[in-house]
Amino acid sequence: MSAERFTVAPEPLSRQAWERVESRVFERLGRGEHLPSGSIVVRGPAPVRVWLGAAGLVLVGTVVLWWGLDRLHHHPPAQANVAPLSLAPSADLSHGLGAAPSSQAATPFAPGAGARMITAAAPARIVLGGAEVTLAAHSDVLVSSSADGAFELELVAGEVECQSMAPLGRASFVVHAGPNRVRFTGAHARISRSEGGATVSVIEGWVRVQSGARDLELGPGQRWAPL
Amino acid sequence: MNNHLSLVARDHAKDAGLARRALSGDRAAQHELLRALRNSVHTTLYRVLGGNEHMEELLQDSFVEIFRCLPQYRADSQLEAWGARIAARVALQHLKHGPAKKDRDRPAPVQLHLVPPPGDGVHREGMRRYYAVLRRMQPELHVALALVMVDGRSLEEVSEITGMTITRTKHRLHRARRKLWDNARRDPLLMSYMTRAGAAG
Repeated sequence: MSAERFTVAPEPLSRQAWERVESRVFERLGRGEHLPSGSIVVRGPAPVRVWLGAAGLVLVGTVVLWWGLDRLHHHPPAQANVAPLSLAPSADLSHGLGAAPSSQAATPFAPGAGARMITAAAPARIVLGGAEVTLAAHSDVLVSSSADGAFELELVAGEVECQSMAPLGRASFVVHAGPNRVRFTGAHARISRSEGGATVSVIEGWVRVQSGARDLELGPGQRWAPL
Repeated sequence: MNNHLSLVARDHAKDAGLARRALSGDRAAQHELLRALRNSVHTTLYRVLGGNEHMEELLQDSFVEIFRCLPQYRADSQLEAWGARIAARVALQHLKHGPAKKDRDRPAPVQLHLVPPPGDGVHREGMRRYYAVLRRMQPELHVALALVMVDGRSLEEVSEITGMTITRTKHRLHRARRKLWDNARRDPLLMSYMTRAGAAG
């Protein structure tokens, strides 16, 4: 870059020209042209294109609103197949969930509290802090929370799909499936349990699996089934 | 090295003192500041625009802008360099909105110099053609190319003056230089000027 440098010496201005510049600069300074403009700002009319842009935005907004309301009116949102369920402290759900799982007001899960959930023919969804857990039909889980605020879920039978959205630095979410421990720190994975063992499939993010002495990390699309 | 650093620090302290006095309304200090900066401001404007056309108005605008921005001067750079950066911004605004825009939009005059004038005339004509090519570019590119190739400014300074990112400045300067050399290949006098002026690269 420096090799490409010209040498252009400016043609000097006359003394009179400099005197004119200097006197005019001080005239302008005397008029306060260098001062920041005051709080009263008189603005001219906004250009036509600003008005046209604003009108266009209003029109688009109206159309979108009308379309949304119309759609809501004629096609009410379909009921989700899986209803959300929040756990009450020390909730005893060992009686199992029916085909249409009930929905309760969200209540914080007290540390140390435990609950057992058994799903029947329909799946169920529970929200645990920053994690969302979907229990497949005919699943059996024990939910508890440790003293540090992390939720632990023990999968006794069936399948769970967990999506932990806890930001970094927050308590993680742990699933036990037999001797295997699956730790979530912001991931989406499916864990299933059968008599033969357990399977972990990661959909998004990373999970850490501890199985006995083995400790490995699984990424998106990876699947692990301990022997 | 230490002596050099202490000299620089002393200069900056002197600049800061002058700026402070000018800011407090001391008319003598304001005149002193204008005279201290006039060479660097004029040189920058001349090197960016390639001539003294509209120069008196541009100098006035630059100094009014310098006095307006004086409260923001932090003495972390030389007052002259700081003033020159403001002058470059004024030149850019002039190219974007001033009479120079009309000049740029006018078709280029027909070149009648079939035989280039000898001696200094060649230099002058070469320079005129060089700036004619710059004027056909976008104002930001014009200013960037002149500041780098003529005024020897760094990419960081050019990026700060033109408001483009460093990467964008680098990329666009590359394209602008290529365009300039394409023009020079078609114009022997411009090529001769650019080669002699030290732009061969």
